[in-house]
Amino acid sequence: MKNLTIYPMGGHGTKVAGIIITAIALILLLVVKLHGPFMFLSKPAPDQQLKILFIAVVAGMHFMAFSKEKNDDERVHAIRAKALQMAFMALMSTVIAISMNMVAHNEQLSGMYLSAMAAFGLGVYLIVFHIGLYFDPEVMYNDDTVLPNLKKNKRFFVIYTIVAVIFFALFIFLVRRS
Amino acid sequence: MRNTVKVERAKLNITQADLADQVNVSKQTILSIEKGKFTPSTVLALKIARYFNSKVEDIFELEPED
Repeated sequence: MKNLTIYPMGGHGTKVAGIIITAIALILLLVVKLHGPFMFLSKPAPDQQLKILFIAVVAGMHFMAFSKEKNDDERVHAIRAKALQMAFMALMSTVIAISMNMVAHNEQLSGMYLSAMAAFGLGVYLIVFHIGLYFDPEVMYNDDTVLPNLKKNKRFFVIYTIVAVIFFALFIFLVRRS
Repeated sequence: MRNTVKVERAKLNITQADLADQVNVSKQTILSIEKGKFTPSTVLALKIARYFNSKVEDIFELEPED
């Protein structure tokens, strides 16, 4: 089965670059969020730093999500397909929920909202993909009833829940209005 | 799906990494196949069977619940 990535020419190096960009941008973002903008920098302006760093995190996550793995074989393709499926469902649900909320409150869509939705979708994909790659190759949420699924894949659900709680707590902290 | 990849590998005294190189997949994939965590594609199953000079149905077997 031929695989499809956005950065085929970069190979695994693109993913490494994405990890570095995401890590650095995330650390700086946390610093700015906790202690305020870097006032010694005139460019970017202090009020723009948070937004630019957030977009840098999302860009790094994009590199990570859509690059090749070191050994990009059919097992990785299967895990990737499952992770993309779950991320798509999560993202669509989020977009619909946010849209309904905005319509109800007559709000405008801002750039940060769009970035946040992209970050959410990419985050779900990256969590599910890497848990599948390193912890549970079966990666299984499927249409079995919930109880048999939980019994069969207890470890997957425990790890997934822990990582998801950390991710969403961080996500909410970063995007909430100060 | 059950398989005897580990047994066949032991007969030839080769490592998971060696088999992985021969059939063009990662060592982790061979490990997952042997543990029954991953079901290979038809092409990969045929490659593995050909490497062991066996038929696919001699190495891979359906389980009752499949």
